[in-house]
Amino acid sequence: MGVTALHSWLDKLPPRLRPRGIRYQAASAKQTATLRGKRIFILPTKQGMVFFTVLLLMLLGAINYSNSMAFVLTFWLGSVTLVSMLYTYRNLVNLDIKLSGAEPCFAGGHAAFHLILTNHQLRQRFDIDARNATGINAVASIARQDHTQITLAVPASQRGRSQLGRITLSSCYPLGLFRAWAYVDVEAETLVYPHPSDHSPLPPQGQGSGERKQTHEEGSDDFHGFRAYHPGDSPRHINWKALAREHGLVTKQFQRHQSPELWFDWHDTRGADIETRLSQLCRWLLDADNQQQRYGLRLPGEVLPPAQGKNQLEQCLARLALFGEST
Amino acid sequence: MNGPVITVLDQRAMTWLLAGLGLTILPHLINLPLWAAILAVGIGMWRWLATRRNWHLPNNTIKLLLTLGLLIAVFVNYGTLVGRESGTALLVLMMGLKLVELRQRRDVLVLMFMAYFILVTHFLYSQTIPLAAYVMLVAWLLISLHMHLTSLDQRPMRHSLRSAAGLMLLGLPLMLALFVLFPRAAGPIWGLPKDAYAGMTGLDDSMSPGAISHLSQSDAVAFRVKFDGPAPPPAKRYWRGPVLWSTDGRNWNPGPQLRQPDWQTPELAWHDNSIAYTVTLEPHNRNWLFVLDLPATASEHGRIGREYQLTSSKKVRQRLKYHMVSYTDYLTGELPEIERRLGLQLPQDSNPRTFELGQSLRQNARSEINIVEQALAMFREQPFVYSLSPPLLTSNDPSDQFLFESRTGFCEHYASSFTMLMRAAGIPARVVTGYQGGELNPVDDYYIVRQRDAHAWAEVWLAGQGWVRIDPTAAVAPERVERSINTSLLGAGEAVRFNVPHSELLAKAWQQLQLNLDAINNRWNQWVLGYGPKQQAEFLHNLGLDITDWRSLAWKFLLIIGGLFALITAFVLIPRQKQIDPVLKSYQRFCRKLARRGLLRGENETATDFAKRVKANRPELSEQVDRITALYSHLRYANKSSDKQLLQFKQRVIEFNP
Repeated sequence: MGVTALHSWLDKLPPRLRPRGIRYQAASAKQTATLRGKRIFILPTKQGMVFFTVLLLMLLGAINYSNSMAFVLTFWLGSVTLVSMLYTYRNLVNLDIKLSGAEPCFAGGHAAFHLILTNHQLRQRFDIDARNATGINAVASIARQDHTQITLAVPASQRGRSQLGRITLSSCYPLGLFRAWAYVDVEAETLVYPHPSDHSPLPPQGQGSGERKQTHEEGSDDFHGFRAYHPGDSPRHINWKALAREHGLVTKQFQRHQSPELWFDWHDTRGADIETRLSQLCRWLLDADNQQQRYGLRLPGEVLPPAQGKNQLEQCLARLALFGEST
Repeated sequence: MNGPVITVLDQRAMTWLLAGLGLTILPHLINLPLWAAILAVGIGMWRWLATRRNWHLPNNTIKLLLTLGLLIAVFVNYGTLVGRESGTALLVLMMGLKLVELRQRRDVLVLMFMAYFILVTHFLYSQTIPLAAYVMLVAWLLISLHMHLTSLDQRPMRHSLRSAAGLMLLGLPLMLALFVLFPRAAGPIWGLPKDAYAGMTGLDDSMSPGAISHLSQSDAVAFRVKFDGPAPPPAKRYWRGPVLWSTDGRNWNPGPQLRQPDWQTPELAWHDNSIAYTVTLEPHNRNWLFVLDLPATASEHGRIGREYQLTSSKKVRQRLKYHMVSYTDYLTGELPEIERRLGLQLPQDSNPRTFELGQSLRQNARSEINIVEQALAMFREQPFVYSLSPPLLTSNDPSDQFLFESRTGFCEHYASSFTMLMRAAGIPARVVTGYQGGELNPVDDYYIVRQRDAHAWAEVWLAGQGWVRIDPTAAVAPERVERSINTSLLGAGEAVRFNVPHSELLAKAWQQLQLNLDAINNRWNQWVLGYGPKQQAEFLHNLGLDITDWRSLAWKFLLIIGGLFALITAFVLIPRQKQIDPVLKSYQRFCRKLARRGLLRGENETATDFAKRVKANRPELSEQVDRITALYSHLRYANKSSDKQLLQFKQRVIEFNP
């Protein structure tokens, strides 16, 4: 029976019947999980099995030829293998793991989960592999009495929530002949926003917003001040005089005096299904934020008053991500 | 650390890998046929350049063709794929092929496994101390590479070398326990390849001119002897091997009767005290065991035949140790008819002049002893020369050519023509081959008998005396039996010179070194290489383990190994105490020394304040205290400090005596 097959078989057992190590420990942003010895499994790898076969052949040769030095070399390699098993175990035992953060993403992108691995040992740990159920992994070494952050970028295909779930921490150090592993359930969740649709103009503002629409058309932007240049700023807004005076790239900022408030309404979107419409809304939100507009969001059963800035964008995107969830 | 994972072998890693694999196959290069050696080295160099220059690696078709080509080449070269030699060649070449397609770090493991296996095959050729040391060092390098190349962490090779050394050191006790306790079986479990024992030298059971002089060029040890009591004088140290009856005038063979089992071990009548000794025979892939002329007792390792020759039922393929008792003065009994017939047999129509000489000796002699004496006198008085490289005997009557024309020969020429002469004179005679002499190793007080001591002599049967050893070589070159030949000093074609003691100090020192080395080798052979079923039983018995009950022994074996592994586990897994900073440790010692004099450092007192207080109390210590405090502050708080300063600091604290 292959090692992988054993893993999955153990996983299928009802929790009560699982060996102790399978009653996973939990880690979260608040809770640190420590990989205790009893929860660490260790088994030979496929390469390990091949190596044992080689050792067995060497032993048979030594016996057959009654060759003392062949015995010595075979036994020495065998002993080294056994000691390497202890090293493998030691490389993983008492490792601390904690969630340090999770980043939301758009559908089709990757949700990033940051984990902090802490090594209290006086020895460096090598090649610690963290892997979630879908096979996304990251490898890290941790210096003695140090910690390191690893990031698991989990692909998110569907809008909603993305969870990291159970991860397997494993290591084959030092010789790759044994693999020690332990499971940790990481309580980590982040949002997956809808995939923004292709660029499309902002919706016409109707329903008592005609007034604002007019102001928008007039485009009576007033000069507001300067700020440092960001890539993507329109060249028309760059203060070329400042550049000529060697003050660097500075962008002129304009503010709409009467600050037209945009409303993005579920009913303004067109599309065959919910996801398309949400994608449309997502695109508008991003564009509006990009243009530093004030905007509000109207969804069936929920209204977010107009506001501006990063927080507003996140609030709105979160509503889109969780749209349709029965809460 | 959490960067992109590098899986492709870079130039530096490849160089290390190739160096490791090169050292792995290095001792095999002389065993391999030239084409294979060149190919193996060539592939390695090509792979190195390919990494350096980013060459394309060959595609699957080329690799398949290469594999087939190599298989065929090895088969054509050796006629087989499974022998020792062909197997080794195949392994080395297949490792080369694996190297050709090596790209990823994970492929390295397969190469490593092959390299480990190749390492062990070296011991099928030789198990000397230098080779063993070399192989163990390469094993260390391979384990380091194994660790270095399979890890994704880009740490320096130095680190892997250190870790691998740690692994091996921790594994050492376990290895020793397994070596001592793992049950040893006698003999092979299954058949060995035919060439398994190729290259073992030793005496054959046939003798032709040049056979023994060929052996005489070899310094290889044939066997070592430890006498229980005082050793017999050199002239009596004849080590009996195969006895040869039948000849065609040139070659000698044991004759067909050797294998008749119904002959009883003959009774010996002896004159002097017995000589007991232990022989450690080097494997020579033949059945006979060498014993001091003549053996009295049979041994567990072989039986004594009619001709007082000790033969083993199995070919000697491992170092064999046997205890014997011999008598150097003896009387053999009556001569059976079959032996008389064999002992007088001469090839027809060959060597007519030898035959004539024998006939005339017979007519002129008063007694049989007189015939022998006359023949020996002829060798002594006429210009016979003892030479390691005598002229070839091309004639159809080689004995005639030797006795009457060339008169230059080695022991086999003398033994052969003398025996024929005796037969012609009507005295039953036979040729005995074996070794003569032996060099004392005073370091461990044993004798070394080398291949170059190989010898051939004659035995004649005289009424009232039985079989009597006659060494015609001794008549020509009496020194031969007193000293051994030193062939290393010998040029081709020169007459043999004998080992004359050198007066030079250097030569003596050299000889002493050689003897010391041989003593070490002997112990290595006896205790390490010769550790077989018998030695194991002895050793375990001495350890107080009951060796008769294998079941309890197996339990104890598991218990010992398990216990040892538990100890190693504890050593590896119990976390180390946090190391105290050596600077702080030394400073604390300084404080303790002052505390004994009543000067206690306060809880929150800085080193400088404490020093001030000490100086106020004990002005005579000012200088020392200042130095120590200054060094302490520097070592603790300065960014840069050298090991030399630390040493100096430690030293000052040690010397500080308030």
